[in-house]
Amino acid sequence: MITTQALIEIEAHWAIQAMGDDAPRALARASELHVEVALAPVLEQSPASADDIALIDRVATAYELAALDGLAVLLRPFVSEDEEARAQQVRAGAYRAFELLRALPLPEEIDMRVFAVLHLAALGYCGERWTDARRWLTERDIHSHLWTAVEDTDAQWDQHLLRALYSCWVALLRKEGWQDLAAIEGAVATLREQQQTLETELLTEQSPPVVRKGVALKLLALYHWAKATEVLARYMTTGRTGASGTVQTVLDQHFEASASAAAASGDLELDFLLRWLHVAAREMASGSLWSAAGNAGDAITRFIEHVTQARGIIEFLPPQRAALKEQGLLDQASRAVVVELPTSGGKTALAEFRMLQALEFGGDDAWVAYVAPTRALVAQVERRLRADFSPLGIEVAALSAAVEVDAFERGLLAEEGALRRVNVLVATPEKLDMVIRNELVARPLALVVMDEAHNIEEHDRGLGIELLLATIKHDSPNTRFLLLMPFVPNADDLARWLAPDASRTISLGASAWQPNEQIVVVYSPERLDDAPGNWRLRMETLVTTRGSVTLSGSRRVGPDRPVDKPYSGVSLTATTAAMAKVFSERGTSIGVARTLPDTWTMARLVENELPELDPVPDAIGLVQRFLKTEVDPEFELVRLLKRGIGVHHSGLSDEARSLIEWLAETSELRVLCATTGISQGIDFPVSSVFLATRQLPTRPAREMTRRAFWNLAGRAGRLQHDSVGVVGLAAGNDPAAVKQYVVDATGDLVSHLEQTLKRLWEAGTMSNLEAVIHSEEWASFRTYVAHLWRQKRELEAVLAETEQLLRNTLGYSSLKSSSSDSAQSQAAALLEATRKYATSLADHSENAVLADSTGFSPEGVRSALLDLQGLEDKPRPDEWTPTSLFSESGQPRLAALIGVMLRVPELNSLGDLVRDGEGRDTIARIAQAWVNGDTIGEIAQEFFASGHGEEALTSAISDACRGIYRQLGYAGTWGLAALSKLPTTGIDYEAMNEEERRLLNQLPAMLYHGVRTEAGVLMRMNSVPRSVAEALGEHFEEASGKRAAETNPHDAREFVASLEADEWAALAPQSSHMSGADYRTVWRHLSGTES
Amino acid sequence: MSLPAGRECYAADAAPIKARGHQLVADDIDDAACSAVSEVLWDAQGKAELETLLSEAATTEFETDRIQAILESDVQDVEDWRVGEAFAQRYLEDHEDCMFPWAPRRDLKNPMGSHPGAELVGFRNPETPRFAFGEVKTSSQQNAPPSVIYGDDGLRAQIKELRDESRVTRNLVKWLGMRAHGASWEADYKSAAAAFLVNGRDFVVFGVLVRDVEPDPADLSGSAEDLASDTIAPTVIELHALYVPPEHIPEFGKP
Repeated sequence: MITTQALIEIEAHWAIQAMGDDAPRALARASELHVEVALAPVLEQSPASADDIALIDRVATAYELAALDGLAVLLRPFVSEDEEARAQQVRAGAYRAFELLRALPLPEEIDMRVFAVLHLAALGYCGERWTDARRWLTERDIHSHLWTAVEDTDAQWDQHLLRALYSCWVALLRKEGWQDLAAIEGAVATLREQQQTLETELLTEQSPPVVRKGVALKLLALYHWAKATEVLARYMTTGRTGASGTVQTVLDQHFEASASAAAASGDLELDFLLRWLHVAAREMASGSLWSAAGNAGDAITRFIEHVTQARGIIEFLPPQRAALKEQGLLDQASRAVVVELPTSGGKTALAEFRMLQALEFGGDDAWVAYVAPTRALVAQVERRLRADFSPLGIEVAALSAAVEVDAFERGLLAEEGALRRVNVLVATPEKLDMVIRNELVARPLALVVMDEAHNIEEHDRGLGIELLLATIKHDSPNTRFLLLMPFVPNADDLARWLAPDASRTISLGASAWQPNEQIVVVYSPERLDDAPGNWRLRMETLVTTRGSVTLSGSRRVGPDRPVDKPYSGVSLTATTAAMAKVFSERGTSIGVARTLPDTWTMARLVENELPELDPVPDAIGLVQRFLKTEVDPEFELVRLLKRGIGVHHSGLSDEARSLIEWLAETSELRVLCATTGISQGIDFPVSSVFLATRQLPTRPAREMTRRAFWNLAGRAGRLQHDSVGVVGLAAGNDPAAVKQYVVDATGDLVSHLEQTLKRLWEAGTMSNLEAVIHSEEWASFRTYVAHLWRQKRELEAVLAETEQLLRNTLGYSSLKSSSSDSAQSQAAALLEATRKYATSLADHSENAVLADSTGFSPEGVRSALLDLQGLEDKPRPDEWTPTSLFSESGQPRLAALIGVMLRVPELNSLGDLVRDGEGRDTIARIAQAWVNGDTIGEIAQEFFASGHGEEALTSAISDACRGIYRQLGYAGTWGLAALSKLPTTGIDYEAMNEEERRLLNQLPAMLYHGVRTEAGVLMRMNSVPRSVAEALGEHFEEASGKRAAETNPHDAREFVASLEADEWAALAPQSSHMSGADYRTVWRHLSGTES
Repeated sequence: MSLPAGRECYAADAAPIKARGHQLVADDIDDAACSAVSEVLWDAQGKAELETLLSEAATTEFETDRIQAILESDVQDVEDWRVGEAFAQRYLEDHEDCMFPWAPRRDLKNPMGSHPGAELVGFRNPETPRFAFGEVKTSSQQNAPPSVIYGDDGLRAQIKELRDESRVTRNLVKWLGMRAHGASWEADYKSAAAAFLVNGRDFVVFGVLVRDVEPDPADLSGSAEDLASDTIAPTVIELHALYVPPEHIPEFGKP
């Protein structure tokens, strides 16, 4: 794959050297023109002069000559190592020539235009920029009326052939789905029919025999080209060529014959074009999804068949192709593969290939775990995998983000029958940790895919992720790993950590490929003196480490006073709102605010400036009705959506966020106002992203890492639509710091464990490590040690394995492999402290055992055990039922349990739910209201309102959502589940019947999902909106003649999928604003079911 | 084998255009001279390529009977203009330090003149190589200058196109570039291309008139004057008229 280094080295080529300073000048000017055209409605323009055009043309010729200097290397079956430099040179030359020529106007005359378009596209292919070439075709409107050229036979036969083949090639280049490509075969067949009459006409017109010969040769050239085109299209769509030989040899034969016939006919231009197209055709074929089929196995072949036809995905993106075909993603011998890939490089598809391979070669029982960092991403990945894998008979399931594994989930995981056995499980790291430690799936775990694996350095969750991988490495020695991450220079370290002798790093961060061009700008308001308070936006492009395009000087953006604030009142939020609003003309803009309330402020500022959508698109109307029903009819977001404005933050439910993301993804939103939290949740591209701040909304505030920033920035620019993505940072008081931030390199990824030890070492408090290990920050570490205790149950065995236990972690193994004395000392101190801690567990080994099933650290277990023992109001064993705990009379009991939870360190975030000291009662009442079906709006008004009016309601709803989905949904459900497992509750599991045990197990799930029946839980697990979940659950039980407990999520899902709109409507509550069809559409979207 | 240089019979220069007449007499046209031209004209490699092309035509799955019949038919009567082109190429190679790797098959001619090019594409001057593009016209007309000088397809217009249309020369340079890597003339190409890239007007254009009439400076003088006004250095334009005895052109065309 072409590297950034190759783009540097090409400058030393004799052809580029000959250009002197003209080369950088031309590139800069071409980029500028390209960016200006792309940002036309927003940015001041500086149209190209004749001199500009001549300069760009001349320099483009130089780069093309560099590409031509050895072009044949790309036509060889294999590029040897010696030839690799030449291949890089050829690609780099084509890469630059494309970049220059695309900025120039196209010739008007049709045949010249045909040549210009195909030539440029071929350069794009050779320079691994087919995605850019495809966008360029769209932007220059080369799409329209494609196939009319094939029917229209007014032109002479040779011209007609040329134009028809041009149409075929535009179809090949734009790749608008399978049908479009399949039409090419039909077009070539039509040409064969037309030949009979049209060829005779042409040949008889040419009287001197020698002239006839020339024409005949040119026709022969065109026929071979047509045949090559047909073969290529057939291969891209079906993986077959219809001729003997590989696709490459068949293409070679026809293109070579075609070019030499063209040359013999004296048509040098056609000869030249055909030779470029020959290379492009080979590149295209070798990037075809089918090229990965080969010996990859049946499942992969069927997968390719499905995605090419159903999803219209025909060709790998260059990084995908490099990963699969050059860098050995599917190498069976590698136990750990770490893929470092630029954002939007198509990592999910790569994971899919490796997953299919793992399932195919892992035996009938094998399963794969896909770990995504947030609930929203779990849902997104589940939808994607289900759509891609279900047709192959591969069962995909996602686990809820609740730490506890509920009864249905347990059933799902334990399922042994071949029919419904889960093959792929999508979960958050915490949830998978629970599944692994408690061995809830008895079948072999073939592969763990860790998405966004750079989170291993993250402050709050990094240690947990590292220890999850360490646990899998220890407990399941045959499991393979696939880690996906952006911008990690030391990806190798991670690969070696997971499999020292069988690892592979696929590092594409240094490749020149970009999903699209980007500009990174710093923006600020500029005071204008013409009217009091007047101002406008000004932006300056920045030089960055990521090869962003820079424009000369600072530029004025948008109109005067873009949002209604006087200059003196323009905050960072207002400036960012203004940028997002101005750039929304090009497509969805994200404005990132400092705090959650700021997102609302931003949204309101934009609201004043944008007209209402007329008509309101169906998708927006649907989301509005969903919010009215599920949140509150007066919810401010409903009104904002009317103008295409959305918000995205933790003050919304997962479902609402997911629907908002869907609107952004499908470009229905103009502006999305979000918190920096979106950097963890966004997996879809938008046009522009503007950040009012680089601070994360943590306490204390921390700066977003460079890696996280570039990951977020990578979303600016839609692969298919935007030539230029725009990323902006507010200048604030310190523009210099902003400029520095984007030039600083993304550093090595360091495990959180290692960072912590380093901090202690630097503070000189290493001797205190033994005590530090008992702090909250180390809870997951303690649980990790306890897990070994549960497995060994004997101090000596535990101590014997402690070193190995630590070696399984990235932090310890990296310290051990370091040559520095301080690293060795830190490692030794950690080992010592861990041994002491393990020894201390011997005193209460039962706590260590309970740590695995509860997920608490042994100390958390101990605190809860003791607390429960002496608890006055604790529920009697027979009161651990929904009707009791969640009823009004059960409130003191639930409050008592919450009191215990509040004292467990792992659950202390539960306390954030309420402001005052009388927390436990209020928390219990909120929990009951939630389970008993109060809407978010009702809960907000009752428990969170602090004033009147719309803004107060908005703020109360945000608080209620955070409380319910974060504190209650996470800590509350975890606490309830964990406490119920402790012996001091007095619950005697042995004495309970199956039914009672199940019901007890479902309590946390009811709290998580906000329903009070088992059937309701079953429906919520299957993404049914809460307002209809219980009614639908009841209907399911009636229809199936079974109680929910006797069924499973799979059957429930099939049932829901079979419902017609009127059935949904009949079950919807009176107060619902949604129609039956609305429910069905929302459900299909949330559950990832193809409609 | 090489062509004799003949005698320079006139100079009709109009600075910066060089315009010369060269006269070859009957004695010059010996067997060796004829063979030199015929090597160019009856290119054996080209014939072999054509045979391969014909053998593969059917794999296109288009009807190829008509094309095959046309391509297989022998063209016996070699037109004078084809001989003239081969003769001019050979002359420039032997006496003007030129080398033309582009060897068009002169028994074929593409009449769809919409694709610009040049009849001869190569280099001049092994010391400081520059691209050399040549246009050739052959005429037995007694008028001086003959009519092939004029009109849209005339020699003068073709030379002007090469001089003025950067798109045409650039495409020719790129076309040669596609074949340069590893070729015997790669070094020449690099030098010529470097000069061309620095200044897109740095090349030589030859206009060659092949005549079997008595030498007359009027064949070239008008064109030299016409071209002189807009030809700016470093572009070099040279006009050469090659005179052979009457009826001698077909002599060169014998296989």
